Amino acid sequence: MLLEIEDAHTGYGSIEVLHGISLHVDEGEIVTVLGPNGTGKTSLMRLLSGMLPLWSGRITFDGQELGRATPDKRARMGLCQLPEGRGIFQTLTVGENLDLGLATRRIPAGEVKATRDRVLDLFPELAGRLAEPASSLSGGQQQMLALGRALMSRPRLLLVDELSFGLAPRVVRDLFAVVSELRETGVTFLIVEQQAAALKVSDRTYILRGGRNVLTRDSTELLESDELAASYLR
Amino acid sequence: MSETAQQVAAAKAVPPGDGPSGLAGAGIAANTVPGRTTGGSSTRTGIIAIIVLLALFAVPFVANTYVVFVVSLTLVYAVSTLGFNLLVGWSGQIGLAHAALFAVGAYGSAIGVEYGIPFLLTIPLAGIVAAVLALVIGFPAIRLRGFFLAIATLALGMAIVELLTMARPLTGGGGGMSVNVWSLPGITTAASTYFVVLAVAAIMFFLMRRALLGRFGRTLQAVRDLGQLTGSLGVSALRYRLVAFALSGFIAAVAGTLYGQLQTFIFPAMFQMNLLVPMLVMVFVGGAGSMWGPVVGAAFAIVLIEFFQDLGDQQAIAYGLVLMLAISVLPGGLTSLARRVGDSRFMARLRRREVAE
Amino acid sequence: MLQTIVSGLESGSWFALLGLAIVVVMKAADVPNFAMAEMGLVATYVGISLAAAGVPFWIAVLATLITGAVIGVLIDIALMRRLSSYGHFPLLLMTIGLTLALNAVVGLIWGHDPRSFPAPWTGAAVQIGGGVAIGVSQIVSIIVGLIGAVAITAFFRTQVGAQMRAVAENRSTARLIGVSAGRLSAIAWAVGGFIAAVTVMLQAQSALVSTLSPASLIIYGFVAATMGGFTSLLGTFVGGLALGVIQQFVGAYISSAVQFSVALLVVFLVLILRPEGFTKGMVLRDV
Repeated sequence: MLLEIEDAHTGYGSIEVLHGISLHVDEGEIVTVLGPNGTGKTSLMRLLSGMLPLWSGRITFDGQELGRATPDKRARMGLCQLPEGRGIFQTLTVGENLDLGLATRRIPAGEVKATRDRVLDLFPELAGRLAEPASSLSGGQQQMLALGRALMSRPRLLLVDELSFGLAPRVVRDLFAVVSELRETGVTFLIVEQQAAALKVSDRTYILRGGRNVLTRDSTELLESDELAASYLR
Repeated sequence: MSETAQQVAAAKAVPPGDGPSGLAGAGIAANTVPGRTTGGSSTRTGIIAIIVLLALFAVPFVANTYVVFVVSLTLVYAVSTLGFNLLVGWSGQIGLAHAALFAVGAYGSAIGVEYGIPFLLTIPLAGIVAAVLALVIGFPAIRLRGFFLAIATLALGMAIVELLTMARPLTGGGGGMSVNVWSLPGITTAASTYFVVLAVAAIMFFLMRRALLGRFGRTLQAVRDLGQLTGSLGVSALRYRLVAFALSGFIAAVAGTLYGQLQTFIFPAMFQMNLLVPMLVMVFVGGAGSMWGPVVGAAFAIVLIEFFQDLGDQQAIAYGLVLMLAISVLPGGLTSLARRVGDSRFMARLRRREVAE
Repeated sequence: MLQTIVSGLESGSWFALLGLAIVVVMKAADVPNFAMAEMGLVATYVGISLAAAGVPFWIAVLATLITGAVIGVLIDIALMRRLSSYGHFPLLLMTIGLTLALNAVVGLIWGHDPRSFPAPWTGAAVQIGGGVAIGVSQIVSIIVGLIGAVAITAFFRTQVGAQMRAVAENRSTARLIGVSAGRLSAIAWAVGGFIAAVTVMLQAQSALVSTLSPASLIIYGFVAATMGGFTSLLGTFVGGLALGVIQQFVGAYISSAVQFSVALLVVFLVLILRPEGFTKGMVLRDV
């Protein structure tokens, strides 16, 4: 088990938002957390990245308890994040944004170039624009850049917050195609989504409502059943 | 909107069992202790206030002139810190023109009296002049973030003091001017000045307490916390920040008029970094954003100043080291210590009100 | 006239360099370091003492630079880092307390008499036409200032530099993707202390420094930083140079008593007209 969350509680100030979430992600899996706005998905992401403190419960990553490790420490442990709203730095060039992934220092110096080439093979649209300001990219390209940057940090587990946010369906499809391609290279994913489109590439799905898990299913099973509509879409 | 409200709440209170949150503001360690009942505390606060006021009223009758002077000075600094704390603590803006606005009060009142305006009238008048000036300072600065605001207001404050030096015909220039001390008939000047200071301090604290515990205080805090989270603010929020600037300028100048009366001689060099630093210490020690912190902070700073006065050459190093030590040990200010051991009636009440709404 | 411009560029180089040191720490560590000039003073005094004890000039220079960088790192690790979660106010106050303490420590150890750091070229001058002479130490200040500005610009284009710019743009996102804020702030403080040492050393090889000189140097450094909107390196550098020249002209043709007021006026005008710094919009992509 790569990531395990047991009965996690957290919130803002004195207001509890997550009332005991439990989930786990195995090595090589793609796991989706689904739920409408305001169900605690973003809080779950913040909890995992260390921006929100764990009030009670346990989170272990790769056998190690996370405790109060800071966000950057977690990223260096391999628990990397594709931040909400992409988190592209507009004042940096495309290439500089990409190389920010190296900040986790998980890639040995000798492999940096090979990794960068592989990422640029994956996103050829970025290759010709490395020297341009990141602000000149379209939304879809920025999301590619964010994914590419995350890969440069060589994650064990990549937390993805709203991959589809504000993007055209075609672009979303392409990005999810990349996600399943990446899984083949050994990256594990935990994807938080509003759109059920994520289910097509994922193995298992958790549905959140009101800060609790309400359902856990095999993703394809969930897509075919009407439970999804019953528990989520109403 | 619910998300924003959550975030505001997050910035306001720290989760149980956790230290300062990552969202800490301008040094506001709003450690709250939930579940403490505060029934009938409003009457109790009133009674305590009256007892304190009576005790303070008796000071000139029982103490010598030096003690009366020190208590007066403490009260003047407490009033000044009340205004500074409003700006830095409650509205979260590190404006550093406070010493200069304090100087505007001292000079404004002294010059006004020379031109025949009754002293008591110069108190609000100097306050209004400083409030307008604070608006002028705040206006370009208001859109600047955090430290940029600090630097900008510092420069503008220094410019005001430079102007005081240059306006030689009015202010006597760098050499300074003496202040006509106003006194009540029948008692000593020291006692008279003391009573004026006490009266003004009581009025200012009463008014500020009402304002800050009410909607105004809560809006200020909300604007502060929102600004920290979003980095940008709408027009109405900016207006609140300007109001905080003006109000803190007004209070600074009111304290300044009293300061002039106490010192009887004023010169521009009194109002530079050597005053601004203790003023910052007072806000810090008192705990940014607290209600009674200004009194604690002022008393602490006075004791420190009086204590280190005799150390001569080593004063600066001692002062610097004490300051550094204090910040290291208690980043939330001296009053955060009290809060940590559970005395947070004010914050708890504030929080209860929020939850009730 | 020419002499005035050169003197202005000389002191302007000091202001510009100190402004750059302030901006570097501001960008990466989000602290306005009021103690920057004092840090440089301590380092320079160490160098002066070594040189007086017979240590060769260039070794003393090296020791000064290393001292500056080490002071920076020590301050960051021992005092600043643990305060960052409490917001801006304690940080600001800490640098002020540090300013008082460092200045007093220098006074206690070395006294308050003005000192200089004589270089092999101190006192030498280059004759140019018309009986005008320019001091070699002035030329050294201007050239080192230029080199410093170019070096810092280049530094911000390295991977670590890009991480600093990312932190300056959005601290929490930068941490989310693994940028170590602590490591960066230590580097920034080291670079800041290093530049501060260079600045005060340049001042001391041309003029006299004492416990009184940091007070005005830090203000002018902050003025330069303000002119760059606290982010632009180019704006800070050009602003510092311009400030130096303006100061010299005001001193030469009006009165040295109003030099300080003119500097404040410059800040005021910059803030009113271009609160984001006066190079904003003039450069396409600033570092």
